[in-house]
Amino acid sequence: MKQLDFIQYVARELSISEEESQELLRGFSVHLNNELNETDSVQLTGLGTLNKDIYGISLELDPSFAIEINYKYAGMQPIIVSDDFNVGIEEEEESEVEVDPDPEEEPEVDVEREPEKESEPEEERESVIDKEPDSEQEPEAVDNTEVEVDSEPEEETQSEVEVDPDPEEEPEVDVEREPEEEQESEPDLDDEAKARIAKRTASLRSPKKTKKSNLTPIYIGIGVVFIAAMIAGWQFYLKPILDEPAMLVGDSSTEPSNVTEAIDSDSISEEQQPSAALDNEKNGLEGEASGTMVMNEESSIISPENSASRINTDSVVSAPIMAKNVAEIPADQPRYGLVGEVDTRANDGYTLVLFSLSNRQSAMEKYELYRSAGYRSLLSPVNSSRFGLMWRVSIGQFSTVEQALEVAKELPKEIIEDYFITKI
Amino acid sequence: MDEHQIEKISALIKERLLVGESVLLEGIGTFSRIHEPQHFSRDEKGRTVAHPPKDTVQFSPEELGERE
Repeated sequence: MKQLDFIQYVARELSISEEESQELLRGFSVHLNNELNETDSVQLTGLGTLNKDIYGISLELDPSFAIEINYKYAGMQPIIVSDDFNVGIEEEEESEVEVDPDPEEEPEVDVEREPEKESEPEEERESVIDKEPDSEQEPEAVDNTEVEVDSEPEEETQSEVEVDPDPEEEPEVDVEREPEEEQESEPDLDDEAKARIAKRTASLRSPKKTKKSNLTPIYIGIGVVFIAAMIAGWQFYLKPILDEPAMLVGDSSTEPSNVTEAIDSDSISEEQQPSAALDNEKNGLEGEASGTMVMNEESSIISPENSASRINTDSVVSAPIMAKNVAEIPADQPRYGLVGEVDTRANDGYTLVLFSLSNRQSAMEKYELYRSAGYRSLLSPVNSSRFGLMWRVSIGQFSTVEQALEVAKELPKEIIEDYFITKI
Repeated sequence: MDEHQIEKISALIKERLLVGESVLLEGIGTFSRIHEPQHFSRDEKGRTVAHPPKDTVQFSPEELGERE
């Protein structure tokens, strides 16, 4: 947006004339420049902080705004690609060929290939070396926390130590000064020392008592607040959201039991989770293997192997919505692919997410658009704790990430302009 | 210029950035929304990791502002 456009925009939004808007923005620029020259930093509420240093002026984005601007990608986490995907990375092809075989073939290389290849064991050693410090650092961190937690007892011991030297000082003084000052200094030192000891012991005892007496009601208060928050969270937030996806899908006659079951149950079987296909004719699909798309905001990386077994109600992607069932799939249609009808049996694969929308109607339109264009179109509700319910529109069902990426390369740029591969 | 006016203008800049536009402020520079598409990297175990797309905001100061 050019300066003139923004002047007009500000004038319109603040209901002022363009001249006033221009003057306002000029004043704003002068203010920013002055602040940067004087303090090298100026804060823009909700936007971030402009910092000036020898390299110039840079923007430190406000953390909440950084999350807000990435709302479309909420819940999306890095995904580990299978090792057979090496060819797909254009920039890192050289390093991949060398590095990739290592993780899985480590034991094999040790036993079988030792005489042939020397470089691989070296890399392995490096990686081992890299890991060792990490593993050593972890206990250190634990130790630190232990020290912090145990700070109260430490204070006690320290105070005791501090008190002890005083009596020790007394004999030293007595021994050294006895011949010189004889009886005059002794009574003064004893009184002072005793007074100090008495004061310190009194000061040490009193805070302990107050601490102990104050902790119990605090714990009770925290417990009450926590329980109340849990109840309120369930009643007003979680429960409606868990109910809503099913209500939003298909006809009102569609029962949401499968979705809620998939979300609520912690004891979901390892890979073959209950199907949450929500088409009108889902009864015929019972018993079909249908994976539930899971995204965990807390985990740093979702592994394809174990992602299906993780469910976090904070960011649940329930099963995609499909308009067709297995019975309507052409007989010659392969199980996985980009085009054709959505096959519930292929829900154990990957898909290309094209949109993540908060507006359900917009998502439905996108879903229909791609479906009518012949793509296997999927629509998946996503529950984000921060942004609420969102809808992900994706196309294709692929057995591997590699297959998904290969297909993505061949798609028109308009379609695949911004996408991310996720497990269905 | 008071704090209220600064907040208002900041909020308007933020609005434009949220819809994907850049904002040029004469005498200061340009706030631009930068999109980083999906990319790949290696983790410490040598595995290929696909990272989701990400947006951020970059500030490009005007030369005048930079010299000052």
